[in-house]
Amino acid sequence: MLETKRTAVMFDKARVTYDEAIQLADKAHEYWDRDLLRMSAEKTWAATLMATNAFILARTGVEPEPDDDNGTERRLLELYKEIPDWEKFTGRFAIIAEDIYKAAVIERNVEPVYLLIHDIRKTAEYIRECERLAGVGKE
Amino acid sequence: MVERERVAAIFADAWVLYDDSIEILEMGKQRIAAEVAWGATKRATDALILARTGREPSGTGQTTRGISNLARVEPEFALLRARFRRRIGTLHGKCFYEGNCPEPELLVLLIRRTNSYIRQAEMLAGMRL
Repeated sequence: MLETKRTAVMFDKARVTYDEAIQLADKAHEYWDRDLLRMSAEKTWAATLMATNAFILARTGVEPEPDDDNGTERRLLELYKEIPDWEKFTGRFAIIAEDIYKAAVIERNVEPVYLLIHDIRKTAEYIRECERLAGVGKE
Repeated sequence: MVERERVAAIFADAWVLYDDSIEILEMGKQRIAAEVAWGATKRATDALILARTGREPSGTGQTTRGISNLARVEPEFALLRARFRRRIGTLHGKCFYEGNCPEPELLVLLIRRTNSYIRQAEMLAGMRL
């Protein structure tokens, strides 16, 4: 496991970004504001990419380009022999990419709101799993 | 009772598609096998949604929404939802539609593991112990 300072910095950034996403989701829920929810979705996706790239860096020593989600996806496919329960782990990445980022941010469709908020909250588990698989954070 | 028969019929259809995907795979046509394995995945998911909600999805959008809703309410569906999302993207979207298939070893693994997906869906539908 290649735990570098860079990996730790990336995970820290992912956690901070995700905390901001949750604060926005809470406000969106309170004020029933779709724009806030879209902003929350965008930050959730950003945190997901950072955590996934940090995990990939820790495992391979190579950091994917920060804004190239296809590159991240490609790297995840290459790691199929090394990730236990690969289909589930990468499936959760795909849920965030498709149901949060593509639907809410790119296509601007936040419906159904209850499902989007649920998915944003569940992203915490995915980020923790990235940390666990990278050998950082709580076991 | 009719509904349970319908659920069983859709699962049977999923197994037929799975067997076909393996046959096609052995003929060396991996891209077509990927699409048929995706079909088996979708049918098994449809059967599960019908068993749990009483409504049979009529398209991929309804199937995706159906499994997402089940996963929100019942956490044991979350694993199947993640596998569904991985499969729709890798087998159906990227590989079959775009011709951008993963490396052969991974593709074969995903196609062959469709049987465990169907079994898991049958268990969640109460059709298998």
